[in-house]
Amino acid sequence: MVRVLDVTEPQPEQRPPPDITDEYEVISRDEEGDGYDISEIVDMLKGMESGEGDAQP
Amino acid sequence: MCAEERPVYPVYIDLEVLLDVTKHALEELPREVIGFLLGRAYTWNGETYVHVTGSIRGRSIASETSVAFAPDSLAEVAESLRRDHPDKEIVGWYHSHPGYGCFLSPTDITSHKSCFAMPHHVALVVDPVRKEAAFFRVSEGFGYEGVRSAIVRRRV
Ligand SMILES: [Zn+2]
Repeated sequence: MVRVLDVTEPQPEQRPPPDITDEYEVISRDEEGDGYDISEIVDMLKGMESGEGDAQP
Repeated sequence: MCAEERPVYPVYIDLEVLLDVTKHALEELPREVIGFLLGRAYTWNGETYVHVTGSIRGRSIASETSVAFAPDSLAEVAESLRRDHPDKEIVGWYHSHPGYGCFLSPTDITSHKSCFAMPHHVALVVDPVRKEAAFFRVSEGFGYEGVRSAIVRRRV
């Protein structure tokens, strides 16, 4: 019997989400689905660009 | 701890990826940018979620107010994905809205529907001027909704 496998749309594998594993830490949650304030990220990147920002983790 | 009871969010994104996307958006100001989100879809407790672990900058036809993938760019990305990231798939796309907030325009919805057919496919919109970012999924008909998500970082 010939079985055709659709490799472009594999069945998702079962895996616990990153926030319940020890492998990952959560930086921020968007509990309502209304988005993030990314001021810190933008300011850090702008700081790196201008070469004046202190390298933050 | 009641980790088992924590709701499964539709999207998890590595901090690094959000940094890359935001950097892309800042570099091209005031023009819009576009790109692809890479990762994998998984299921847990009967819910499907995507974990975004990479991104690829798209070649776009961009102006200050609209952005679209160059016609051959999706095929190009699929090819580079097979070559360089065989463990990843395209789980959605991102683009920037410099200064006008995070939402999906009718054009965005049309683009999403034509390229991203799976229900778990997501759209990330970043506004590097207002300093906002949000994830969306396109729903039935011509609607869309913001989806819950979490920014995560692999522990070292
Ligand atoms: Zn848009």
